Amino acid sequence: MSPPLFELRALHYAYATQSTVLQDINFELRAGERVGLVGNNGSGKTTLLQIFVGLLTPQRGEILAFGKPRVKEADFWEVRLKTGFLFQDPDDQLFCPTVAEDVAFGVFNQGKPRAEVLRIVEETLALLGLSAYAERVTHKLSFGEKRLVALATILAMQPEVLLLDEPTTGLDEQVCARITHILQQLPQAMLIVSHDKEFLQQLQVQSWRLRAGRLERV
Amino acid sequence: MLPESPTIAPALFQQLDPRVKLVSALFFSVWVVVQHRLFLLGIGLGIAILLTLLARLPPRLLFTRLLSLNLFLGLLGLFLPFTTPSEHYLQFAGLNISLKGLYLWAEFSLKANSVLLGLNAFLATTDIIVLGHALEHLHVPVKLTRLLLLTLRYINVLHASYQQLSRAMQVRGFRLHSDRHSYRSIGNLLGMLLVRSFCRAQQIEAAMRCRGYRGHFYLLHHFTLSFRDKVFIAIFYPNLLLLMGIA
Repeated sequence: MSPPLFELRALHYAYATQSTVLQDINFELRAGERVGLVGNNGSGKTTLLQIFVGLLTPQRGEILAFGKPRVKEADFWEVRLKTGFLFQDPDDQLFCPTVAEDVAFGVFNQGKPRAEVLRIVEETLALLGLSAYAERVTHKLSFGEKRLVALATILAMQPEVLLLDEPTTGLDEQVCARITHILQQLPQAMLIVSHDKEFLQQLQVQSWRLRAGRLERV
Repeated sequence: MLPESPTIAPALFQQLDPRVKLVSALFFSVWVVVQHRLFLLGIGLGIAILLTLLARLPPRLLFTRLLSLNLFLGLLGLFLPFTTPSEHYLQFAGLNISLKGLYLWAEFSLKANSVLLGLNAFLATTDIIVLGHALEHLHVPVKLTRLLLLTLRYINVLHASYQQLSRAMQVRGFRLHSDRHSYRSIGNLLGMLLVRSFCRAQQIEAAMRCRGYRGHFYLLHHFTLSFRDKVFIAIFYPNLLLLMGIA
């Protein structure tokens, strides 16, 4: 069996101003697996996702990603290029003036040549049915459109893992169904934080719950 | 919050390369500003009017912009002729009118109107986002151009968050009076906006790092000079140079 894409071992994390948020977390994510992460508000779900890509550094424990231990900021550069992280608020994610530029941003960061970037941008937008949006100005999109474009920006990077932070929150049924349908077709391993039980069921995830700082299989 | 770019029928100026327009706007403005002879400034204004006509800007927009500038110039016209020391004075209705003051006022008015019209013709016909990109292509420091582009992107988000907060205050019965409670509440509102924009900035940076950002920006769109641009350059610059020669 190939090594897991992500592996957390005995991980502890606490914010400076709070008591421990995460305690003794052990977790593995393998290729093709879809994991749903549930838990109350403030239980540390987003914190955990941010630890995966090195945005937060745990006080104790080990993170292995793509077969290597990851400790320093520089260790995570490679991890981030192979991981698609969808933020809760698409306004945080879409910072470029136009949709095409935003989709191109991550692909450029992967060091691909311009011609290829242009091709990937076009293909990704077509895949999500967003071709007409390429030159639209990001801040003028509706919330649902922003969420779809944000998804396009990470899929364009052809990541091996998707970390999705509440991908359906605040969406109407139509966009919700569209996102569900898109995700169902994708082969990537996924870790999805969500309160939407129906959505998690449709994606046939294995569920894990964060409670009182501990992560347990449901 | 953000001025919408005027939508107009595509005229010559809408189709020019934005880099050409930026450089031309700069050249024209500098040329006008360094002139001191009224005759040349008159020609400058003539060119500016011609450019404006070519740019086919919406007349109302242009009118309001010209009005606010000329109201200010009018005010200047009330003071300059009476306050500037001069060798010669005009006697009129018992008043001493300084010739030098009058001359200065005419010079200022011609320059200001020419520059305003010129900038409008060149820059108001370009989408502000495209302008940001063009600046980047002209090797203006990336820190500045990105600051411009990010401001454009997030000024609306901040404005929305201001509106949200102030509406939330209104529905709880807040009305602005000149008392301590009002000042304190407005202070809280502004403080909260600062905190929110700081958090927002941190989130945006985190999201950028997640997509592999390490301090370098890439440009997606490249501009190319079209035949139209070359024709414009071939007509505009020799004439400007010729006028410089006369000066």
